[in-house]
Amino acid sequence: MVRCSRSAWVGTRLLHRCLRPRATILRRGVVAGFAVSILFIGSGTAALAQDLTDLSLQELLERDVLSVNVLGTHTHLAGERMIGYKLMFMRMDGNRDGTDGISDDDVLAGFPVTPTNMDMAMHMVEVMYAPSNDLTLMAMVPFVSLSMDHLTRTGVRFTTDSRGIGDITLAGLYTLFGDVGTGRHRLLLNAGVTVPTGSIDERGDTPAGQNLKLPYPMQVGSGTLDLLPGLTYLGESETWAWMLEGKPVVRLGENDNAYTLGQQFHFDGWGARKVTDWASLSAQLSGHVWRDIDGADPDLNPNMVPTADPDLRGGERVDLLFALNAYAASGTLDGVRAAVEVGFPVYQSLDGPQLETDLRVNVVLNWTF
Amino acid sequence: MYVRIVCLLAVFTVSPMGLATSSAQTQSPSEYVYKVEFLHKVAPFVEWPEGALGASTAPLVLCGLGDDPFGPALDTVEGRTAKGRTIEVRRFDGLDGLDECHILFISSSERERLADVMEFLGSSSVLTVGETEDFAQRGGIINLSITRNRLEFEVNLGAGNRAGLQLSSQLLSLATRIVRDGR
Repeated sequence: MVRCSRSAWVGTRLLHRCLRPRATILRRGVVAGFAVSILFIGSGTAALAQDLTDLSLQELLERDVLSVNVLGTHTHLAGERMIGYKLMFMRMDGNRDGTDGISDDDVLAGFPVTPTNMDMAMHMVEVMYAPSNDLTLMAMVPFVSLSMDHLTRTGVRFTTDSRGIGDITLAGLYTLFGDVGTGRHRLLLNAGVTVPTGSIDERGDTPAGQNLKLPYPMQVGSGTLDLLPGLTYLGESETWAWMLEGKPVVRLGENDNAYTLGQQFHFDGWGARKVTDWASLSAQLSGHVWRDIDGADPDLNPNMVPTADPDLRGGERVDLLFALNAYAASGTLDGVRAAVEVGFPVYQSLDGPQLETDLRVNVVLNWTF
Repeated sequence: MYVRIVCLLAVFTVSPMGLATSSAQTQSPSEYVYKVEFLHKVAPFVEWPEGALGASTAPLVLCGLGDDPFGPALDTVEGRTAKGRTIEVRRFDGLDGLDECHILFISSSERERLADVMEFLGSSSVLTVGETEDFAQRGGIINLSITRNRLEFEVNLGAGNRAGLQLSSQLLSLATRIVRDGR
């Protein structure tokens, strides 16, 4: 097992403390903040057409051809490289069965132990390269940090933690229709795989014993080679960009612990508006469907805690997320993009009892050169 | 309480320090606007043979051959001046009249009959500009491309010499590559 650096772990715990307040307050703040941003930032942007006629030949050759990059091109232009960092944080608090929240006592009526909340932080390092305008290749290496609090029938509270490198993703984006240089509409084919580099044998100490195999949500990897096909539609105007995307996760085979994580399907609808030359606001509806686990880890007792029951892992959820995106088209930070995204579920139905998601926070920083 | 307020503010604070603060723009020109500007701006760096441009009051003829990817962009150079002459824009589907051009942009749609075009032009003093990968290697003088979101060009110096054109050293210094026929 490869451990994250201590600094990354400390940073994650600081983020946990920052976001520990009840998620409801944060949800209201997110919506209000986004609305205010739209009113004050989106209302007044001067429109001045850039005139190339005043440029010398050398200056013309030094300018970026596509300047609406704050909206992002999703793919990269021929010869471009990108290196980036992404932090994805998720807070899960309280249990749910179907669409109904249930109390810890309700869960403890059926199990000796109940999870009460969980924090997940994924630090992702991304590299991308575009050999042509139509093809972008990417590799993503995640460092996963998981922490779950529990309560037993006897009132004992304890925490289990796990962390390490997750499953590495290798993927390509190919333009089936449209042209990133001249087209307003594009259709992209996503083709990727996740390599099972993440551990499925994380262990920890609990009141029941030391160095015990941790339940399914606390494992860092899937243990299987997974396929990531998908289709993405992109549209763009002078000040707006929008996207529709559907991507399943297809698990291949069974891992070494005799189970296969549930098949998944993700669908996203996203829209962004450029508000200045360097900033845009975006909103996204993100849907997820995931199935129960097929098979079972022989080291886990499904009667001890819901998280060890492979038949209580499925569910579906729709998240609403808002983001502020910034991009430097020139100057010292030429090619640097930063974004902060915050969101929460607007619908979730779980094969419970299962921890429900309360909050998602994503932070992105990358450099295209 | 104060931690929550700070966290909420932190979510929506982006410092503009170090980021581009150029005046806002709502429209980004396509790559063909850049290519049209190149066709206009390259003229001062080229010397045509004595008499090739006609009388001093004659226009500088800028032509496009093949499917027109420029749209209205090509017309934006109509009436502007280069080398002390007014630019006149002409569009062609066939070969007849191409030798009257001074600058000829050959669209990627003409890739299959490029050899015919070059044979027709022969040693005419026409600055041929293209946008296909092997344009310069197949006898075109300047080939344009977009690489890493920047307009670039390569030059076939031998083709320029055969056309009787003299390309300035300053222009050659801006080229990303100097190619030869067949290479």
